[in-house]
Amino acid sequence: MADRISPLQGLLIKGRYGKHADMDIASELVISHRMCTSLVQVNAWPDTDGKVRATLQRSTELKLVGGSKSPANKDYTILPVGPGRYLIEAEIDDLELQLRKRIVSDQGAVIGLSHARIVITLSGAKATWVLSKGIAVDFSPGDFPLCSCVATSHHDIGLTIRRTDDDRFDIFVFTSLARSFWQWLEKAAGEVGYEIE
Amino acid sequence: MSGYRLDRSDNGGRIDRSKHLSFTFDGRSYSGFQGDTLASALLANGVMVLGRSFKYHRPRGLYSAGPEEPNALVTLRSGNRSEPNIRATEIELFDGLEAKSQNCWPSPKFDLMSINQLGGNALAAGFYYKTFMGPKIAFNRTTEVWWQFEKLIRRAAGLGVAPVEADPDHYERMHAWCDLLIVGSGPAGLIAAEMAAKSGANVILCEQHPLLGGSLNGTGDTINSLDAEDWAKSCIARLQAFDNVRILTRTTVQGYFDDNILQAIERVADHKPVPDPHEPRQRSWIISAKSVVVATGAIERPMVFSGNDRPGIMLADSARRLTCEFDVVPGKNITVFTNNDTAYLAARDIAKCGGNISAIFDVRPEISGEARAVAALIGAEIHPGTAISRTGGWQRLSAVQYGNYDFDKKRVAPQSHRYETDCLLVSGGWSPAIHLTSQFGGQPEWSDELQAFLPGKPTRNWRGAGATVGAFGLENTFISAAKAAEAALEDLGLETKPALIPEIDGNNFNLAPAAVFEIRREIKRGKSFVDLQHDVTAEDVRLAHREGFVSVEHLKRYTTLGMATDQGKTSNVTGLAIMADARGEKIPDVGTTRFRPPYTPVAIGAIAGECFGHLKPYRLTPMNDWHCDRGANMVANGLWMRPECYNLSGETVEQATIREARTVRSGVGLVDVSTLGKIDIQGPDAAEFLNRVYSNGFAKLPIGKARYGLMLREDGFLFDDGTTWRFSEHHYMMTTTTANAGPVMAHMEYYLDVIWPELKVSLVSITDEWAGIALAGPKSRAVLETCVTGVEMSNEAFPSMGVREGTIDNIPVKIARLSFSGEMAFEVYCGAHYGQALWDGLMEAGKPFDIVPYGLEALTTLRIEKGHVAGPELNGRTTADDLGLGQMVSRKKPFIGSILVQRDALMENGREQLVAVKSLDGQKIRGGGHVVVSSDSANPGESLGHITSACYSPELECYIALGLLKNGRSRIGEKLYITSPLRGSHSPVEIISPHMVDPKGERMHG
Repeated sequence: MADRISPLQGLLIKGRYGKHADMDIASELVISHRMCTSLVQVNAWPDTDGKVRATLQRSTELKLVGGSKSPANKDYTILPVGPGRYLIEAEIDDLELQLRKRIVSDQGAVIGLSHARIVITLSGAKATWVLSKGIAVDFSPGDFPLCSCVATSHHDIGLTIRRTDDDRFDIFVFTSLARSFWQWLEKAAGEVGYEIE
Repeated sequence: MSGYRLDRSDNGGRIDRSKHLSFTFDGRSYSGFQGDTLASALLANGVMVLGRSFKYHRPRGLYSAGPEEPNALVTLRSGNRSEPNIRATEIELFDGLEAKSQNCWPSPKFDLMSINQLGGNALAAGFYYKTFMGPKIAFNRTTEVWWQFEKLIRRAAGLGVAPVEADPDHYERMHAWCDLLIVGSGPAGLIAAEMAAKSGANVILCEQHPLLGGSLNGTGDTINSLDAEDWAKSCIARLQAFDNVRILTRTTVQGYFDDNILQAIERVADHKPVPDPHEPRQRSWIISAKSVVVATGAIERPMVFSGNDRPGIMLADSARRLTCEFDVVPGKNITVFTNNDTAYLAARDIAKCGGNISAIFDVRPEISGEARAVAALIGAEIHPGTAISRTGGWQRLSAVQYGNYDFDKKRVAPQSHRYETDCLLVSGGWSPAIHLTSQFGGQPEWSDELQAFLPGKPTRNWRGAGATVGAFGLENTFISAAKAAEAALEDLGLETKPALIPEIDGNNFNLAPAAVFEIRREIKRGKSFVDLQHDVTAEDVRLAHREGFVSVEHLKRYTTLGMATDQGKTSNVTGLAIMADARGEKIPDVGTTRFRPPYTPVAIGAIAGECFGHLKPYRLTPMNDWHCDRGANMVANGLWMRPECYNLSGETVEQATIREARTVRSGVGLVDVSTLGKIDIQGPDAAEFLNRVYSNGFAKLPIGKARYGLMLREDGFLFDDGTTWRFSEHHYMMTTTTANAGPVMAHMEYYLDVIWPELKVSLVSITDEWAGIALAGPKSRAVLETCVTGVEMSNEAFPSMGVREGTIDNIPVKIARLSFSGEMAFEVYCGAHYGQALWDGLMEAGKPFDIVPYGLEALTTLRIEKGHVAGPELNGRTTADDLGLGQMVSRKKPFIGSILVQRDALMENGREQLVAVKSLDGQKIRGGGHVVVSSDSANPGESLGHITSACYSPELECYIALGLLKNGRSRIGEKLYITSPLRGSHSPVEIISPHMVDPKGERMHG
């Protein structure tokens, strides 16, 4: 089968850019991106959310604790993106198929979105500073602790953001808007300098 | 006024004498020091006239040292970075700075337009209203004559000129959250910030100047036995050590909005010639604060008297700042005119630095012992109970006339005395800077004691501190700030320790001013300015009163008092006082206007932020790069960028479009349709939901089939169309028009959430999940047969509107046999990341069939030929029946719009109906052109309808169009005209059926 092509192909080239591009000092912002092997949205019906949560927990061996807490293990990440709505990212090809078998239409809907988003990762001491330039979310550890996720937007571009470490964030961006978002991000990051992995 | 630099060796104030900077003003070179403002550097160089006034073109000099400056507006930088109306007092000097004076020609010293001064009262309040408006009466053509002069007059009166080039710098936004935002870093702000920092609160401290400390910088006061400035430095050092305090200098809080959200503009690089690489010029902070302490201080007021605008007259405390912070003394022989004690403090500090204060004129007959002691200390003679009646000099002050002031008559005695002076410092009291508190609805309250408006009751979570709430004097300031911080922190649930109020030495002055705003003379002579920036005089205010504009809102608009870039920071209260006097009422009874954001002028770039060069983001299909590499001209279609056509060398758009459309009709073409909206619909009630949403039946759509559907609004008009594919019992995919995907999704979500919450239906946008490619043309099936695996492609096995799943080059695909062009056609969808690979595969498979890619123009041409409607016809004013789709509106089931579609207005005869027109003279038909009966282009008559979509038809070999025509279907065969007066066209056409190509659908179904 043909290789999948990222909308950012040819744009994110390994190297150092922005303020410290020519300096030999540690970069305080590292940017990378990935295409999801599998990204699936599961929508429960109002009266089946408990069942769907239980199914997801069994399937992923993760515990959904409620709110915007987004649990993850080495195989799966679950991002609660709304009441009864979950995004699940996994490193397996057939996640959508597996979940369709476990969640029948009486319980909820399973929608494949593996091509609909790409994930841009920002890490480093300046990640919060750069994100705060465009995104109206309080990223302080008190308000947005580890494993928090939020569905928000930047300049009309819908984003889902997850904190994966103290200074590391995964940003799920709509595929067709990825370049437009990247155009902003590279400008915003230029002030502090960044490295593309 | 002859400003000069003090010859001090101790590097007093904020300037660094070891760093010389060169700059130009009106093309002439000057030098200054690091730390200077443009204002201080110009004054140090003896430049007294910085520009000309707005209307009268009177010479104007520096009047203040801060954001309230009404006179010293300059155009900064040149070329595409030039920026007009910047206050010289706020510009930090840098090497190579270029500044130009405004509103004068050829120079501020000699300005030809100063002839305006001879106009006397002709340019008084209401000049424009009286001059440019009026009836055109026979034999009285005055108004019309004035119209001829209007442009000239408007050019003569004004401020700077905005550049026309694009701004080369970039701006950005920053979002921040905090427990406590403190606005202002003067004594109140510093005390509040330290208390909050110690309590553990997350604090943001904003200071508009580059240096923290506010009024403590350069003052002669002592705090805890330290010079106030040193005390401030130690306090700032302690604050900087806290992790929970973010200090933003060069940051002006401009607006106070809902939910305790404030906007501040940080001038990141305005103090440099150009921003560093990758550095924004300015940053707009959107600060969400749980609580706010407003410690913005107060602005000194001028006194209004005849000739009070002469260069050499300025605010007393501003002169203190220039002297103590920048080592620049505004005159050699300084006099002071005041109605309060603060001017004595300014005089004290100026004298302490080495300035010469020779006399103080004080309207108050009784003067406090402390003030007298200051005068004695600095060797200045006091003239109690006197007022300045007028001034002498032209381009700079040379003398003042003073006389005894009579409080009862509110007049200065006719007998006056001359006093030689080159600099007069004035102080008419203080107006607390209540702009932020007022913006958010707090009705200002008048203080008789302070003769000033104070913030009203907080309507949101803010507290005022220091001079902002009328707590003048350091001790009062500290006490009020500590109370404000304590209350704010208590609200936040944070523990506070009692504030240690610093000890203040020797500051027991009476800071309340006498209630004197204007010095009137028995004889009206000379102009007494209230608003220096807009040249509004005291007589203008009285004229407004005489002419009936007595409310403060009318006063502002009739006289322009308080308008322009300074928004009346130095003039509002004085103007109100004069109006109150004219009305014979008290100032609070006259009222006050509110303030609105921004506090000071803001660059448009800072508001636009990152939205530079575009208003919206753009969307790209997976095949975008391929289109661009093939030279396709990309055009916007909603947010999407789509290829218009793929021009071969030398081809025009029309030629390329004709070639592409012909190839589709005769062979095969492919087009990128990834932009179509796609919505995943699942759930046990999905079929029922679709049946209610669409006007035609969907309950019985078989699995593996697609159906064209019409969607109506509640009012019965058409909303959108598209196809919906059924994959399984409870799983569908709806396609929408490119531009309407968002509205359709919102429309359906609304119905699910609000009207039919009982339905178990899931809606998810999958537009970005699937790349879409349409293959159209008689050879399209043949192309697919060579590359598709897992799908039987015969006509019987894969009929029109069939939906199948298979693979192409191992890429999983969904294929639907749908046609927009009227030819046999298939839409092939795959995961978006495989989109380019699929496109490449289909191009390769199509090579033997001479496949060509086609763009939006050919797509449009093909659908017009076929009579298929799109956005121009689905314009929100058409019904299904108007477009010949009435048979798709079910009479058997309820659906959205089913009731109102039957109302009389939508059923009556005479509605515009979809038709096609064919050009009879070979002329192009223009979209938007109107259908008329008359052949007379000069008198085309009533419009019977209009053209919605037009093109050249390769199939019919003539220009054709779709249009909406009254009773159109009954007029087929008639010869009419399309007129477009704006474009100068008027052409004969024949009305024909919109189904111009293959009306029986044999090609599509074959």
